[in-house]
Amino acid sequence: MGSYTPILFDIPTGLDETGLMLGLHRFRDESLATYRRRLLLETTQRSGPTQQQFIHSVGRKVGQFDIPVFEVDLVLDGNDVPLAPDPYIEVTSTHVRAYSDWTNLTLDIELNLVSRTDAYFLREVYTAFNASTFFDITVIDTTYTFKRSDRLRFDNTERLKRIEYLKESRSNKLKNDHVRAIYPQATDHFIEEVASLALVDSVGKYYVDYLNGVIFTYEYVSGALTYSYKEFPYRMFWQPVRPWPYNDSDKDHRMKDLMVADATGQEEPLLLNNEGAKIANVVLGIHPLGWGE
Amino acid sequence: MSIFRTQRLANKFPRWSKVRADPSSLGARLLSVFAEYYDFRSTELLKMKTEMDLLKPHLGRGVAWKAQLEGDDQMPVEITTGGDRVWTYPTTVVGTHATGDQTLVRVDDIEALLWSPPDAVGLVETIATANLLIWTSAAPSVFNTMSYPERLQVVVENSTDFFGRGQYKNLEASGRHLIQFQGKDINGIDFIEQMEIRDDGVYRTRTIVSELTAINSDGFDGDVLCYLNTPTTATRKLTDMYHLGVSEDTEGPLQLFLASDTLSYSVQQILSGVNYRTGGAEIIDNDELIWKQALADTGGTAETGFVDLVVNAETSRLYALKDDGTVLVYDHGITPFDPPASTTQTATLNTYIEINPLRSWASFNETMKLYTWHRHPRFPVVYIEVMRRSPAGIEEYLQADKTTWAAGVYQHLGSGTENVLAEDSWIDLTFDSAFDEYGQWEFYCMTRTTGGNSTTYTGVMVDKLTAVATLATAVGTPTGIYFSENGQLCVTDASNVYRFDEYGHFYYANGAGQQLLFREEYTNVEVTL
Repeated sequence: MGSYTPILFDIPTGLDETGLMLGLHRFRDESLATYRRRLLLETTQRSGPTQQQFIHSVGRKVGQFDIPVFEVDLVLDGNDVPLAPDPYIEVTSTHVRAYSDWTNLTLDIELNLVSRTDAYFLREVYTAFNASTFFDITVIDTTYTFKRSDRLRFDNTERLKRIEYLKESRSNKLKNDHVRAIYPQATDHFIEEVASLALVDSVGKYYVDYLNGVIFTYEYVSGALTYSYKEFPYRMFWQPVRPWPYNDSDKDHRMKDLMVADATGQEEPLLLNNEGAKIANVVLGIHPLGWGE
Repeated sequence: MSIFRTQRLANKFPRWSKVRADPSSLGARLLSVFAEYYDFRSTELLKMKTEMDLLKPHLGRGVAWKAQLEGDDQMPVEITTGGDRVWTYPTTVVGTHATGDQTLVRVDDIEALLWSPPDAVGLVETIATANLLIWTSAAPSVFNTMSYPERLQVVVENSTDFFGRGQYKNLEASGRHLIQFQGKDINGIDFIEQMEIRDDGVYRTRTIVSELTAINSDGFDGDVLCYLNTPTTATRKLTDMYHLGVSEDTEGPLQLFLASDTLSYSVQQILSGVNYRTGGAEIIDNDELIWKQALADTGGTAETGFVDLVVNAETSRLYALKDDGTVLVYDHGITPFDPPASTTQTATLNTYIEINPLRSWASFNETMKLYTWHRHPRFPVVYIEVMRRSPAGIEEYLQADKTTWAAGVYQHLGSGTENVLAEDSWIDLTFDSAFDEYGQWEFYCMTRTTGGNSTTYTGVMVDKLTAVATLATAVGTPTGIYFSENGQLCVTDASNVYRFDEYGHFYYANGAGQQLLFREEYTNVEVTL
């Protein structure tokens, strides 16, 4: 009687063939359901060379998924208007910042994600947003408490919608609210933007309800437009593999230790630390910028 | 086991022909040989067609395990005088599985290894579900939380009108009938899916939905309900995506439902609701029941207490859930007729009078009408004898009252033979037969005419489907069964969804390679030659 430990071997399926076309292979021990999920992600949110595409796709290349942890929405007043006049949230390489009025840089929340005395774990992020008068936070991943905050996806609430076709109507509801700016095609429907609907009284005048994403024109409109908007409710994702751009100024809080700056007399991240030196050497090794190698 | 492809081939013949009208006829039995292969290939082609589709309903089997035999465990080979190689396979193979030690059963080929019916299930996860109903058109602003990502089961019912192109209620969709779903998919990415609604029925979304945020429907006035799962009923039928329903007159997607613990097969006569749901007009009964059969356990005993049905997209097998949590697995389809078994009667080549049953199938314990048909009035009829043979082999004759059956022969006389035309010599009669045994009932009509005799044969099936596997889920009061998006068997009760992995404890012995292949993962395998 012999005793054996069976060895796993793959059986090719249609998913593997599709995966080859998408540049994602199935990992050993990866279930077909998980593999299909990665492939679906790749088809709906393609990886590519842009910063955003790289940030969104790096996890799936190694068999991981970004996990939605929080959803942040705006607190409204009695008229369903957000209390924050110009809300904006950004997650940088080392910080989360939430502005109630981004135009005037009125900061509501600022959290250092790499400092053990600040928001090292997601529970501190939750606590800060939960205490805000401008923002409302909902937990999506209930296991968030002791997840490290510096794995939050590098992102912000600014979005751009390219080419949304308008219906033949005098009023058009865009697919997104909280519009920041519109960029219509050069037609004679969009000559002069006016401050209220009542002022739309001749051809070429138009009014934009930025909060609700509605465009009013004098005549039946046609064509398409591009617009930027603020994405609320905003989902924060937690990344098992987290990339961030090297030109992010906040990276100094990770790569440098604090020392007193000559100019200000305040503690600032100025002294390259071990992690910073290691990253800098790798970067310079690949891209020497005219010196080094 | 064939489905209804035989009838599809037979429908190429004229309506009056026996091959089309009688599935027990010689012609139909001959066609069933090709139909069975035709049905198998059609299923395979349907799966192949969607093989590269990421959202296909089946995932496939992506892995297996192997062990390379060494030393004394290697299977000895003997070369016969005919030159064949015959290996001596292991006598016992025991695998250490997550569910305990399992004695593995040897199968003959790779296909059987990968796709044989499962022989056990193991509970993977229990998910609390507050509500299996996610959205209903009765409360359109309420979107219940989905406990886990899943394809939505969409029920459209109570429609009275499907609006045609140009009707004022259908300006948006312009002659189409559709539901548009918006929400987030399994990866949290926004999706929009449009589902074409042919008629009232049960549909599934292609998208694996994690959150539903908006639904719009246009082109019909019925109710829309979105479920994680809802049981199959006589009005919420299960559409078998791999098989075709065919009657003598029509064909369409095969629909399955439970009726008094029997499995019923039906097909829609009119496929599109816009063709018969026209507002003020009375809605016709559009479903044609084409077959019924009892559901039996693996030992052949008819079972009762069925709750729900589902077809496994992976294997196209039917899974039936019982109220004690047991799941019976079937290779469903109608049982083909065998050649007639009577040794006392044989059908002749000529035909004067035939027996036509109301249907070619009967329910167990049903009393059904049959009638004679003077098909070929060639000579005046002197008399006929009607004999039936039960599945147990008991042969009885129809008596004078046309209701009772007995061993004694009774001759049903014609109208006379003197100066009587053949067509005036016989008035067709109807008679009853109680079908109190499962299996093939045979009916013979022996006709004596002044010019010759004929014996005709027809069969009636009291059908019973025998399970190929029994799976014990131990869910106390189950309410429904379905397969999740990742292919796991799911059983619901009032508050939970129980997800199960199916296990097939089989091995395939590859003599030439001295390997054993396994479908399941075992940490250790003991092989005894």
